[in-house]
This record gives sequence, structure tokens and C-alpha cells, in this order.
Amino acid sequence: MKLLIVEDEKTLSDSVIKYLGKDYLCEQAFTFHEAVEKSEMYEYDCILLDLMLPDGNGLDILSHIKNNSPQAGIIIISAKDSVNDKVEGLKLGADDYIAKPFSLPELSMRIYALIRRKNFANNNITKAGNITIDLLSRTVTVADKKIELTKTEFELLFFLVENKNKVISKSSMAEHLSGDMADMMDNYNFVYAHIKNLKAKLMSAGAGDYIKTLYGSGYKWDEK
Amino acid sequence: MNDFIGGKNLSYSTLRQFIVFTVIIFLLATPVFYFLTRSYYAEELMDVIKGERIAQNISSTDLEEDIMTGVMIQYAIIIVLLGLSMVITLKFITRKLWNPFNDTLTKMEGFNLEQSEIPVFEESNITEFTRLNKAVSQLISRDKTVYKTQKQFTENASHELQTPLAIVKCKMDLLMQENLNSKQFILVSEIYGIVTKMGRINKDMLMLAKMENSQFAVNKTIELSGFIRKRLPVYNDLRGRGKVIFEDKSDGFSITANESLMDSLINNLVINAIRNTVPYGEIIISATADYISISNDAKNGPLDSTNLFSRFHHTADFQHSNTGLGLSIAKAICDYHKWDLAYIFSCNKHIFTIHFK
Repeated sequence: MKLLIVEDEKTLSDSVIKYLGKDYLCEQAFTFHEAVEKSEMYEYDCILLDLMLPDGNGLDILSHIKNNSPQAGIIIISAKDSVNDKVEGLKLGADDYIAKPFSLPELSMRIYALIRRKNFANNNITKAGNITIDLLSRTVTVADKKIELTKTEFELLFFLVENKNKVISKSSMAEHLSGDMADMMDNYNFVYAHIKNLKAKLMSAGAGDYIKTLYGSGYKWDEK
Repeated sequence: MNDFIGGKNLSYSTLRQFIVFTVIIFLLATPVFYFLTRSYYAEELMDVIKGERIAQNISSTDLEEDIMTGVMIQYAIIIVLLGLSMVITLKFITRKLWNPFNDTLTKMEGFNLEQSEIPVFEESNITEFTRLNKAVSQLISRDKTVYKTQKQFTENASHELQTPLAIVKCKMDLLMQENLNSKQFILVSEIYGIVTKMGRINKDMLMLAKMENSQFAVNKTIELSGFIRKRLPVYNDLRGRGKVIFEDKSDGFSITANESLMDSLINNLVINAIRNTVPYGEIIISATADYISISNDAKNGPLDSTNLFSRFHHTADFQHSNTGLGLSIAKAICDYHKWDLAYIFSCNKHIFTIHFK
């Protein structure tokens, strides 16, 4: 899976690579010029695109890339967070939109979801340990036994599995569940309650104890 | 009438007008004086002269008395005419002269730094008024520029901060992947929480700045019932213990609003209620065709309503919001849509109501 990160802020681009580097073949472009060149020369599965580049208008870049690599999924990374910008970007052919400041687990999740959507035929089932997750029907089975999860629990499970072996902060989890509303709360204890329920359901169905809690403030999907 | 005004200063123009009108009125009144003289006290004098000429005996006359009365009448008429001229000048003619001034005044009274354009004043050839208009125009355009720069600054600052915040957040995500011990991990988590909070403040400020710049279009028809119902599961997720209840009496009622602002308004008020309610307390959202109200059980007594909606206002007994901006954002959004946001305390409940008017 090839990923192109178009972002003029090098530190941010590097951080993304450091987090995603094991799962994807990542390349960087720091300018409009570079982005156009690379998208003409290579094929990418997904392109992360910051619309505010020093040497070009964001929307031009989008249409350029769309022409050069129609097969690539495009996720806009933007400092502007408004419905209008979002609608505008999606209208021009972007597939998803993530506003700064985002967390790496969230970004990773979005990339995965997008790539899966692009070639959905072969990739609807995700396995994690002895758990099988069917993304199309949104069902979870443990050793052929279906378990009933609430929508929130399903979201949490999928988020953890998608960031396998990575530590996810409670705050990223909260943000994933409730979007903008999470950071209005003064604590993320509601995440803990849902994790507890999810853990109990998985355990009683005979799944391994994969969800590790780190000092009460982080979580990790660990199959070891 | 402007021909009377002339390109001079105010007192000169007024004096000139007054003189011109007095002359006109006196010219008009000349027949009256002629008639008065001809047929009243001068009549006797003329009789005397005529009698002299034909050497006739003059019958006794009331000459003295007639002259006195005539002079008094003449005097009275002059006073009346002068007065009339003054009244006409002040009442009708100077009103015209002062028109540009009144125009300037009206435009200044109606001026609003946030919304109005720089007003175009009526032209005048009175030097004082020209000076006034020029001074006012300069003052307003200077204020406008300062105001615009300031607004732009808030918006730009918030925008510029998003990328550094994103970098910090991503670095924290990376730091968490290192095998940290419990002390380190908890420190990192705390910083993570603070960075998240900074991101929130930044987003809120950006939203306020954009509202001040009128950058949100109010163009979406929102059906209240569906809008709230869609968000209810997330509210209940956040609530954890206790329930968020929706009492729907809106009967399919719709409002016209900006969708992202409406979203932020309801979220802010509901989360405010969640954060300030007692454990297991009920949060009730009710919607009708006139209002949406959100109520929660109070931990303490009524809130001090004076500073409730002001920015960054913190009180000990009431957690305004995580950032100190929640309720002021709600208020600003209501103002933006010309709705009314009211707070009441009743039956030991805090109740916030959005009246759609």
C-alpha cells in the first residue's frame, strides 16, 4: 500500500510516517510542485493532502492530483474546520476530510477505512486474534459465535484493532466516539465505561484478553 | 433655496438669510404702512394742509391722539413683522441650512462598527459641516480598519495555531508508543489532555471570530425532532450514568439555521448540562415550535446570571465549561440567528431555553 503525504510542515509529515511507516510505504511531498510530480510518476493508494501549500492554490492541487491519479483515495488535512470547506473539498473529489489538530490513531483509522472502501470487494473481514469482524454487516464473531455489541462498542473495538499494537490515548478514543463533543467534557471517564463493557462481552465469549489498559489513561490492542 | 446659503461659515449664512428675509417681508409690508399712514393719523395732517390751502376754518381735530395711536400701531406691526421674519428664517429656512448636519447626526446614530459600511454624508458648502463630515469619516474609517485588523488577527492566529497543535498532538501519540513507565505515561496523558483542551479553545475562538465576520450562511432547514434524535445516542454515551431524555412536542417543526452553528449550540448546552448535573440526574431536552429547552438537576442553587454568558468567566460552584467559552458561544450563536437564550432556575433545575421568536 502506497501513501503520499502532501504537507509543507516537515515535522508533521515525519510524525505521520513514523506512526504509519510499518503499515504503508510512505512518501512525502512538501510543495505543490513536488506533489504534482510525484502523483504523475507513481501510483498511490491514498494521498493525504494539506490544501494550504506555499506554492499553489489548494483546490488546484486537488484537481491536478485527481486527474493524475484517479485511483488514489484523497484525504484532505485542513486547518480550516468548517462545513463549507468540507463540502467544497468533497465536491472536488476528495474522499474524506480531517481537521487539524487530529490524532495519529484517528488518521490511521481514516486511511484504513478509505482504502478498504476503495477496494471493498476483497476486504470486508478483519481478523484479530480469534475475533472476526465483518465490516459490512457490522457483526463480531468469536470462534463462530456471534456477540452482540452496541454501536459504540463496535466503534471502539474496530478503532483498537485498526491501531493494533499501538498505544491510544483515552482522549483520542473519546474524540473518535463523539467527535467534537469529547473535548468539551472535562474527563473521558465515559470511555472507560464502554471499554469495560466491551472487555466483559469479549471475555465471556471466549476471546483473548487483548485490550490492555495502560495506567488508566491509555489503551492498546495486544495479541501477545 | 441653497442659493441663499453661500459657501461661507455658519453664522455668516444665517445672518445673510435673516437679512434677506427681513428685507423681503418689509417690502411686502410696504402697502400696509402706506395704507396706515394714508388713512389714519396722517389723514388729519393732510386735512390741515388742505384747509390751509383753501383758507378754510379747521374744525377741531383729535390730531394728538391719532398720531399717538398710529405710531403705536406702526410700532406693533414692525415688531410683528420682524418676529415673523425671525420665525420663518429659523423654522423653515435654517432647517434647510442645517439639513446636512441632521443627516450626519442620523447616520452616526445608526452607525454600528460591526455591521455598517462607512456612511456617505450629504454634501454641504458650509465649512463647519464639511469639516465635521470629514473628521467623522476619517474617525470611522480608522476605527473600521483597526476593528478589521483585530478580527482578522483572531482568525489568523487561530488558523496558524492549528498546525503546531496538530504537531504536538502527533508527537504525543508517538511518545506514547515508547515504553514509558507509569509516571511518564501519566505525565504524557495529562499533557495530551491539555493539548486537546487548547485545540478546543482554538476552535471556539475561530468560531466566534467567524461569527463576528458573518461568515456563516443561515440557509439550512432543520427539522428539530430529527436533528436532536440523531444526536441523542452520543449524548447518552457521554452521559454514562443517568439518562438524557428527549421530550418531543415540536410536531415536525423546522427552523432555518446554519447547520454547524446549530450543532455547536445544542452540543454546548447539552454537554454543559451533562457536566453540571448530579450523578444519575435527569437531563431533559424538550422541543416545541417556539423553543428548545435543556434542563438538568442542580448541584447547588441558582447561577449568577449576570456573567453567565460572558467569555472566560469562571465560578467556583459552576463549571462554566471546559474552556470557559461554552455558554458564551451558545449565546453568540443565538444572537447570530436572532434567537433569545434565557436561563432560569426552577424546581432545583437549571433550565436554558432557546426561544425562536
